[in-house]
Amino acid sequence: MSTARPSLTLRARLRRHAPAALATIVLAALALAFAFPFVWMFTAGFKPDAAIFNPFPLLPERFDPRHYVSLLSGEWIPYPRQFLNSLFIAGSQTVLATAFSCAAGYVFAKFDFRFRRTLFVLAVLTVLIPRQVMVLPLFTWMNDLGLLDTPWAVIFPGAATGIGLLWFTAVYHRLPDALPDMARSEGAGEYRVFLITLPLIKPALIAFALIQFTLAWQEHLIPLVMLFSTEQLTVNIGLASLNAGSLRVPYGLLMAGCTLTLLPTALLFALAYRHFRTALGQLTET
Amino acid sequence: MKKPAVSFLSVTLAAVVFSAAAAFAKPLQFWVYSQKDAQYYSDMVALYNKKTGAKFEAEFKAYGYAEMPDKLALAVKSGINMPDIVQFDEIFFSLYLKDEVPFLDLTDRIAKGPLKSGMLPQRFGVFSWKNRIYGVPQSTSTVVLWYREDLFREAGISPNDLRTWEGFEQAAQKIRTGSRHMLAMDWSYLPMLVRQRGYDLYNKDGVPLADSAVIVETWNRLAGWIRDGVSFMPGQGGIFSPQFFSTSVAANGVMSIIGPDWYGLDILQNMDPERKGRWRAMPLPVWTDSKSKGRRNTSMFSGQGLVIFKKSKQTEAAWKFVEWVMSDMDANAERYLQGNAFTPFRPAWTDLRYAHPEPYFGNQILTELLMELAPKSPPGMQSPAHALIVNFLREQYYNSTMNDENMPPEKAYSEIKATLRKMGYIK
Amino acid sequence: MSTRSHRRPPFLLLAPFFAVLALFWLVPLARGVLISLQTDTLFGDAAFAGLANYRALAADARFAHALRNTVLYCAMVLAAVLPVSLALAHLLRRVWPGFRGPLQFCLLLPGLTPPLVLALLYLMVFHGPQGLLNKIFLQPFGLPNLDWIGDPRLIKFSLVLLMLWRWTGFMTLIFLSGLEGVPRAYHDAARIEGASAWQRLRLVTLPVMRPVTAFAAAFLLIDTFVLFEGAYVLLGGSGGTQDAGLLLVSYGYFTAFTLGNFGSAAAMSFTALPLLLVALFALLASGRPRSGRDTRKDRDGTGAAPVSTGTTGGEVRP
Repeated sequence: MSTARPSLTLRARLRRHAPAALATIVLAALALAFAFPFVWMFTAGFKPDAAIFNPFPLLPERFDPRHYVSLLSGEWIPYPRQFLNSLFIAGSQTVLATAFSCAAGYVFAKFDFRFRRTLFVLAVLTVLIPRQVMVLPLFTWMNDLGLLDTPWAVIFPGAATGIGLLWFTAVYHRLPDALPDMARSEGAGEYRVFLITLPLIKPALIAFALIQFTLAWQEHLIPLVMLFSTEQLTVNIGLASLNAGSLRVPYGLLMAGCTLTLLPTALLFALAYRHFRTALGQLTET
Repeated sequence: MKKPAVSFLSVTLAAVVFSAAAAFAKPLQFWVYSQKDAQYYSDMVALYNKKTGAKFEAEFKAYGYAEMPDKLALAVKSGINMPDIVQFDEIFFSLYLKDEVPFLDLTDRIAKGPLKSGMLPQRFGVFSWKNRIYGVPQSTSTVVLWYREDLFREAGISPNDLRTWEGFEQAAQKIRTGSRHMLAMDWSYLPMLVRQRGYDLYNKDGVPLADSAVIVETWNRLAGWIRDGVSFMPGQGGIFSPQFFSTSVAANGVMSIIGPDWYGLDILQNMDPERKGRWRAMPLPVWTDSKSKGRRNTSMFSGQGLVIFKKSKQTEAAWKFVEWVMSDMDANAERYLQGNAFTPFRPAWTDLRYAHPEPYFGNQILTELLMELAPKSPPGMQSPAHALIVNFLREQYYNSTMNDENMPPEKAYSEIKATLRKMGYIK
Repeated sequence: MSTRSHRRPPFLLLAPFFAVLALFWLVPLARGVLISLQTDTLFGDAAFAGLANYRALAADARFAHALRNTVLYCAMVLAAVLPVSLALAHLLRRVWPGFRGPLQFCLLLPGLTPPLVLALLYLMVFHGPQGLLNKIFLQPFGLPNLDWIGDPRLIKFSLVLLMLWRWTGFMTLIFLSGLEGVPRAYHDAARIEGASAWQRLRLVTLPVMRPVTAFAAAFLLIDTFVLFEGAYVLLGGSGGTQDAGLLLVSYGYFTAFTLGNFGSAAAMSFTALPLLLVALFALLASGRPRSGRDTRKDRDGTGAAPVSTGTTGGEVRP
């Protein structure tokens, strides 16, 4: 324990804390710049239409829930139903994509077999093809399969993702063989061994699920093309249908809808943040 | 004893089959742009059924301004889930002119009904191709000069000063403040003014950019307005973006805008409620040079209309509805009152519902002006290159020609023409 | 780390993934290739056209322009986002612990938004004198307003700014974990040898973080090359003034949906695909650890690289 004199302590304390303070200030300014448009979007949902496009004054005169009421009452679009559609589609895609990519990544990482590299390249290839090109043939194919205007037309294509394969291959590559080998020596079959590894990569599973959900939640072109009935539309397409050129667009309503649309991904990220960090930590371990 | 059982069975079976067939006769698929349009047309279907005793059924789908054309292109290309009726913007209509036209040829059907004599003939042009009519327009889209009466008064300008474009330019000199301009510029002024002079971006065979001298001259005149401070170029989205209204217009920086009837009725009223009572409309200043044909004080621009798909299984039912909604007095009046589209069906003009003072426009009776101008509007032409040219102008070139010395209108024009030639639109 | 086993792989684990891939991607892909070999007829039957679309592409100056723009744009995004995120990750490590979470969240927000929301927000940020960029960053300093979207010289920067805004948060997160995964001992050893902060960055941090950086770069590459949202948000699907912002995806969209030429659009994407594939795999390969490292575990025999999170055990290397 040092017996420092009072004046030194103050200066020393400042010097010690200065980097943290500086870092915090810089990042706070940046964070504010990043988040400000969202704050604007949030407050815009409470303003009358004409006042929306001026960023200042930021706060509305009064917090008028009129737009939210109108949105949720289904007066313009069946927003609650479309929100649920989005949840179902994004959720299903996430579950399937995580499960399938995880299983496939395990095999690619841990085993060597003929055509391993070819199949890997093939799988990753799918990520690289822009949606605009796939849309027409995917559309006709879904029609042939009888899946048009159902959520499955959006869910199934999203269930196999090259990003997922890349992710889980990397994750499993870093997983040591100790536990699996031990299980094998006790006579477990390969499939059982796989199941045993799952708890070990829980953070990676959650992290990927988060990424996939976010990407699925944001999808625009495929839902637009595959879905027709108003009750089947996702929330993105539903909101887009309010954008009728520049004629009579209910901007306040649109803002309210967009704010609500942001909630699921934001919430999930807030909840799963720790797991996400852990998973990234595992992945970047040397 | 079995016979009655059998006949009863067969009758029941027949009844079941027929009712099943009736249930399977799908309602017409009607694609519109916005929720408001869906509302209007579904109200009209109800009215149609009530008035005519028909049992017309339609399902409305509104996908959004940019989304709907995408879905439609996909539907037409694949042949899957094509709608029966589409409310179409004439710009997107042009996309379908390059191969066989997928729309029903309405020429003969129109000739047999009230639309032939009643419809403003110029308006058919925007939905025609190779002398066949494929769609019915829902508005006149007559172009006027929308102006701020209060700002005019303040500057000492009277509408009488603006009988010619020279007078317009002179009046612009009276504006002292740097942040205020006589006119807000937009790419749409080029086709509007070219048409006003009696020409167009296409000739009657749909060949684009045939009237080169006039187009370039008009374009240069417009660029000159920016240079001389008569006009200014708003940001991305032009005079249609909400930002334009909350900034330039709100700051009283815009004295006038050239635009079709739906611009003032629809966009101004909805985007600029704070300036209620201060906007007015007047005819366009005329061109006085020898090249311009006639001293036309109006023009025509864009607009929407209804088309029916050839492959629809219910073309007759669809046509009957379309013909009705375009010619019925109530339907036309509602389209004006609800949707701010002024009808091109002239017999409807005698309807007193139109002749009311518009509070937003300082109690000016707008329809009087429109009825006076609409018959003088120039005919509309179409071309497969239309969407492409609009895209080039609006997105790529117009901005530069106004701001960048290295891209004068001549250069932009020749580049566009060269591209069109390379793509095969000009032989 | 682990090595690959030569045991018989549990193929059933591969089955679901490849079943979906084959059924929902490869079949449409094959059809897409077929479409690229047909005429661009929109209504009516398209005829077989062989390689006509591809030949037309070779002569298409606009396609070449879009390709150039896309490559340039990708490079700019990587050059901007990666260093900025790395710097922010460094800063974030020094921030008071309690603040870290909320700050991260704010930075992440733009990555979570659907494209429609971005399109509306762009109106706030980029557009005109009242746009936030002009209003907050230029006007107070007396600088003239810039036309972020309309000026062809600025469009690419605006696109890059949009990407920065969108992905910095996510990349910072990745780099933060990466930084924490660098063993303290390495830094200590370097410091003992007299290395400055910059040298430590160059010689210790970056090499160790290569896998992370490669992954981040690959993700960005995929997003900028393949995803459409940015260009669509700012430019509404067009290329902007003088095509300065024309990217492959926007040109593909334009060709397919504005012109109705689905065959040409397909040909476009398949032409660009090999390029992207090469770039992607080069990135991924650069991130793979050199073979020397992997033998470490075999030498130990226990195969224990710790699975816990990145705060390091001091693993002193001989």
